[in-house]
Parts: sequence; structure tokens; C-alpha cells
Amino acid sequence: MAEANPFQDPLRFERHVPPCAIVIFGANGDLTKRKLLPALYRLAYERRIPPGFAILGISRTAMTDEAFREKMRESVQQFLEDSPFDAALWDDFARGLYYVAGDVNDQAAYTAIAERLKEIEAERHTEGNVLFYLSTQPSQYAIAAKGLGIAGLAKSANGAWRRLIVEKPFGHDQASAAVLNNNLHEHFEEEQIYRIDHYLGKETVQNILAFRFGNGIFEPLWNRRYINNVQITAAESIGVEGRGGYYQEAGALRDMIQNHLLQVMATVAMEPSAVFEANAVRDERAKLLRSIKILKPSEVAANAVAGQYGKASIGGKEVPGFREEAGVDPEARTDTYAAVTVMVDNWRWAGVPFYIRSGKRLPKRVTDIAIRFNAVPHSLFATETEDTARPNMLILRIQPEEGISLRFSSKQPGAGMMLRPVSMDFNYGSSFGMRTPAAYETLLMDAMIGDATLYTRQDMVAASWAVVQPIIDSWAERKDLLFPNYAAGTWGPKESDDMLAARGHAWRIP
Amino acid sequence: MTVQPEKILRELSNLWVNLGHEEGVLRACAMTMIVACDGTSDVDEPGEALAELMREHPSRAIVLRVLKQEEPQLDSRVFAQCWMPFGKRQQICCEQVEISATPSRLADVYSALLGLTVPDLPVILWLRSAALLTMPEFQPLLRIARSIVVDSAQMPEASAALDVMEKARQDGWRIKDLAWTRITRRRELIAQIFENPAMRARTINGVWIRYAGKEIPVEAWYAAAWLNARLPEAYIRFDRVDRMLNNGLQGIQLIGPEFEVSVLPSGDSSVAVSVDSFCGHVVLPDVAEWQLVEQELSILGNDPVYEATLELASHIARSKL
Repeated sequence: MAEANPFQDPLRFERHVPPCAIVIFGANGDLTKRKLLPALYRLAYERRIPPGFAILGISRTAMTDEAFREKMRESVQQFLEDSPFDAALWDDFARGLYYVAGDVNDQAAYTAIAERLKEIEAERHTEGNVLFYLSTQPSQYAIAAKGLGIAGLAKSANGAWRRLIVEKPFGHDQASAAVLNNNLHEHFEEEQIYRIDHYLGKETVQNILAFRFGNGIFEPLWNRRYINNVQITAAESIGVEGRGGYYQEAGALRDMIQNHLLQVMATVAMEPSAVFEANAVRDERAKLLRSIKILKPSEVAANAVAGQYGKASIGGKEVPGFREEAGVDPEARTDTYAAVTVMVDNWRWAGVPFYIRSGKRLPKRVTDIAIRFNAVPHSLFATETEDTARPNMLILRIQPEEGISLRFSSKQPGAGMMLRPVSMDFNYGSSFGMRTPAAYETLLMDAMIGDATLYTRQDMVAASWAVVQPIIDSWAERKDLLFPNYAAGTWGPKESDDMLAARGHAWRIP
Repeated sequence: MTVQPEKILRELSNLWVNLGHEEGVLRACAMTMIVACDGTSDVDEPGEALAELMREHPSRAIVLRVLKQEEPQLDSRVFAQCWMPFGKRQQICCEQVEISATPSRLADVYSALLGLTVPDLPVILWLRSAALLTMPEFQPLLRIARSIVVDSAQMPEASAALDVMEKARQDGWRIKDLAWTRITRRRELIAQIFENPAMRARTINGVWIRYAGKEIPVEAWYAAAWLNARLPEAYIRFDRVDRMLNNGLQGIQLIGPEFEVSVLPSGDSSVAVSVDSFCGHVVLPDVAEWQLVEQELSILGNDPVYEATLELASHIARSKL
């Protein structure tokens, strides 16, 4: 019989997860409760999970398998979105949940994991395939990888696979990211490492590729000749919500721009790959990230703005400033807002600024990409004012109302030739009706199948750190940055508007 | 007694204006779906199936009822199908048009349908009654769509049904047969077994197809052709058995000198999947007609696996009989 399975029918047969076990480090943590277990349960609900499947939770808290199952049931019931909870299905799913209490720093924990995995393999027929998920403190990634390596869990026999999912942040700066990569590579090959960036798992981010490369009409316009500037916004209306300790060490530049938003930008700006395969797509993303102009220290002030929110009254409610949040140093110099002008040094994008901003306590929660086209070279209509003669704009909405809008000018009904901007909207929810899978469902499924297209590769991480490192260094040295510099509930500091105004541009209000 | 596309479109337009007065209504449309039925029974009513299909494949649905009465008749009405997605506050609504016509008026229906299809979106014709595929008065209407969904298991004689379907395919229609869709899950079970390269290395020299009914049904011919294309050296044998599963194909066995693979019914909604002595049970619930159509609608382009299978099935059925 042929080498490939001749019975496959990819147009009809669903992608199925092979028999495997998932080992989650940090099983008692927020990510596991809010995202991972609901996503895995949802995959079971969709019948994507095989009978030979198990989840082994690891954390320090002592707990029995039964207690872990009960805890996870509560989490799934609480955090499952857009789906009903099916008690019978849960009972079946929960039989594959196991728990081992152990400290990541203690090698005995890995011995216990290895023994438990053997039992699970015999009981659940997981065929020796294991996906390790590091949902722990970033400082424990290298320790866990080493522990797994020493216990012989990073390698497998008889054609089975071992994979490692690492959550962001991938390092705290360029140097620590390189060290982390080296540490991981001591025990795992690059092909085994899946660096998760949940933004890339979002259906609408994946749709950028379909939109650009599945349609003939946009790609000819997708260059410096027709596009004036690109604005990528990831705004949150909430503050740090109990994550003050973590966030004050990270900040918006590290937490959002270095990873999520640069990956989104790479997806918007990359060249088409020859084939839709993991490394071909990732090669193009990596090439784009390497084409970004690295700022010199003297250029940072004009091209990057840091902000931190101060207290304000929003709709009559008093909101604390960042420094007043629980767990935050009252003198913290953390950027809760960051805006960066990114230039790409290649033929397609030379001279087109990509403005990227992200912040907390902004007026609303929204993530979108606005592509502003050049204005018409000559206006025919005398009645056009600055308000009506707006250039065309294409908006790729990532959240919350996923979709695509195209803004153009139209004649206002009635006598005379009065123009006004109108919007043509494509709404994901209404056009397809069906439920959109959550990012973690897509990404977990891909990792179990072995498709790394939506995962970040080492060279992509290195390239994106290279972009933000000069900004981090410059901000660390600047003593003239006076925080707080924007009021909670506003669109960030004035310097951010000035940064765009210097090029004759203005932020779009999403 | 006329059906004026302009009038229907005006009514649809008014419908949206009225719906627009309600808060939170979204209009959705990804295709024109023409559902033709001949009104022979209540089962023929497509309303429920369309309501289910709209969720994943929102469309302008045009239900065409071919009436059997003597007196010529042609009539229409429009309304909206709406649903509230789980956890959302906005209703999603799709248009539905109903046209009733006697066979003598079908030529008028063709011109009306031309004006009613949504521009630039795919047009799908679902023949809920397979007899319409060969009805002379209906032939002009086939031209309205490139994709035709039909259930050949409804046709009285399997090999003739396969010939009709194959001819339609050769004539350029994108034929989609629900009898083929009905065996997807069992094909998938076999494919999963052969995902293991060690299984693919084994020799298979016999294919046994088990069927229920007086004669070999379309589903069994399809299974035989699909397997024959992949195991050309293996002989094919058909065995008639008692009906357990709710369609013509009951079981498949692949036999080799060293091993045996089988997917056989173990209850009225489950199958036993056996590889050598290892046996597992898989629930195979009855699939509603709309679920079969839904699977077909998710394949908008050509389906090379099915098309090759149809060609071979029609050939095998002719040569075996």
C-alpha cells in the first residue's frame, strides 16, 4: 500500500487528535482553569479527542485525582464560553484527568510524573505520545525542561512523540530570551518546542492570511504605493486586575508588542509563502520581522512613547492609577501604555509607518488593524471638507466584533454632490453563523497534531526582541519620563498623538 | 398566477425594513439554496431541515414545491428564518421564498429563479425528491445551479441510479449524493485504522461488503468502489445480511492472510471496529438528512474522491449485474 494513507479524504474527514497525554505544569493556575481545560473540554465536545487521551495536572498543592477532577469541573462550568456544559460528556472526559503534586524545582517530581505517565499509558492507551504544557512562572521554564530531560521524558521510543508548549514571555529581554532558548535546546529539539502566542490562534488573525492570499483584489494594493500607514491597536479598558506584581515587571511593550502585536504585524506585512506549510509560513513571518528597522538610541524618543495611567473618574466611578493598584510599587516606572512607530526596510513597505499601540485602562476593549490608503490625488468635489474627504480605510477587527470593514465615500442622498464616509462591513458571526473556536482550542489541537504553523519559532522570537530591545534600554535610562502621564479612560499620553502628528498622521479612534 | 421576481425581491426588501425595526437583527447570506420537493408526504417538508442548515450555511432559501395536481398553478410567498445564537443577543435572519408550481408551469419558474438567485454567491439545488432529477419538465431547472444535492438511495434501482448520477457528472454538474455522505463515518473509521504505517504494510486480498435489502444498495456500491480503487488486487464479495443500521450498507470486512479488519454493526446505532483480535465499539448515531446536506455544503468545489468513486461504482455495478 502507498506510503501516505490512501483512505484519507481530507475534504470530509475531520482532523483528529492522535492518542496522547497532556501534562500541564501549573495545573492549579488561572490559565489552566480559564483557558486550557475549557478548550480541551470543548475539543472533546466536538469529538476531536480520541478515547486514548489523558490530562495529567502538576502543581505544588496536594490533591487527589478526584479533587482535581472536581476543581476542573467547576472551572469548565464557569469559564466555558458559547457552549452548553454536558454533564455526561464531562464524566467521560474527567475519567482521563489525573493529578500529581510536585515542585518543579524538585527532580523527584519528574520521577513521579514518569511513573504516572507509564500507568496512564497502560490505562488510557496514549501510545507514549506526550505534550508537556508549561503554564508556570517563566522563571521555571528552563528548570522544567531540564527536569524533563534528566528524567528521560523529553525523548521517546517506538515512533511516539514528545512536545513542549511554552507560554509567553519568552525571556525578559533579548539576552534572557537567548539564554532560555539555549536552555530549552539542551533537552528538546527546536521541532519539539511550541512557543504559544494565543493571538496567532485567533480565527480573525488567521483570516488575515485568507483575506490577503485567498483574494486577488487586495494584494496588488498591499504596498507602499497605495497604503499610507497601518495602525495596530490592542486596547484594554481594564487595569492590571490582580496581576500588578507580574505586570509591573513586564509592561505593555514586553507584554503585548514584543510578542502578540509584532506577530500580527508580521502576518499583515509578510510576503506570501510558496506553500501553506508550517515552516514556509514561519519563514516569511521571520523574514518580515528581520526586515524591521532597528532603532538607534537617538531615534527612540521620536518613535516610541511610554505611558502610565493615573487615577481618574470614569462614568462617575473612581478608578485607581497604576501605582495605586494592589501589589504595585508606588514608584513603579512600568509602561502600561506603549506606542511604537515601526518601519520595514524592504521594497514593499519602505516609507510606510506601522503604528502599534497597546495599553491598559483605555476607553474600550478593542483590537484591530486599520490600513489607511492614500487619498485621491485630486478631488473633484468642491463640497468635500476635511471631514468628508477621508481616505479609504480597511479595518481588520480582531476583537470583540470580529470582522472586516471597508470605509469609502458615498454620495449623500438628495440634491447636490455631498459626500459622506460609509462603511461596508463583513461580520464573522453573522456570515458564518457557526461558533468560532477559541484560540486555545485551535492551538492545542495543532500542537497535538504536530502542526506548528501558528506557533512562534526561535528566530522569530529573537527578531522581535531585537526590535524592542533598544526601546527598553532607552526607557530604562530616561529620567525625564514622568509617570503617570495619561488619565485612566483616555487614549494614552499626548506624546503618542505627537508621534503621529510629526508625520502628518493621527490615531484612528476605534 | 405568476411569480414576478421583482415583486418577490420587493417583498424581501420590505421584510428587511420591518425586521430592521426590531433591535439586534443581523442579515446573513452565503449562498442561494433552492430546495425542490414534490410534496408527496409530510416528510417532504423542508422547513425544519432548512432551519437547522441556516445556522452554519445561511442562505436565501427558495423552496420549490412541484405540485401534482392537474390544474396549472404558480404561487409564491416570502418570510424570514431567524435564530438566536447561543450566548448572543442578536438574532440572525435569513430569507426564505416559497414557490409552488405544477409541472406545466416549471418553465416559468426557471425564469423567475434566474431573477431570484443572490448575485455572486454559489447556487445549490437540493432535490429532496430524487425523481425530479429525471423528470422531463424539471430538466431546464437543473441549469440554474452547478451543484446538485440528491439522495440516490431514494431511486428504485441502484445501478440505474448510479448511471443517472454518473451521466449528470459527465454532463458537467457537480453532483453531491447523500447516499455517499451516509458512509463517511465508516470510511473515516477505516482510514483511522490505516493511519498506522504498520497497518498499511499488510496485505489485503479480500473485501467483503455486507448490505441489507433486496438488492445491493447504492451505499454498498460506493463502499466497494472506494475500496477497490485503494485495494485493486483484492477481490470484492457482497453478502446480504439482516438490517441493523439504518441504511443499505451494514458492514465492511478487509481480509488478508495475516489479519482482518472489520467495521460491523453491533447495535442499531453503534459499530464494532475490529483489528485482528482487538475490538472497540463506536457510537454511530443516525444522521439526520440536514446533517448530511450540511456536510455536502461544506464542500463548495469539486470533490475528487467522490467523483472518482461515482465513476468506478457505476462501472462496477454495471459489470457485476
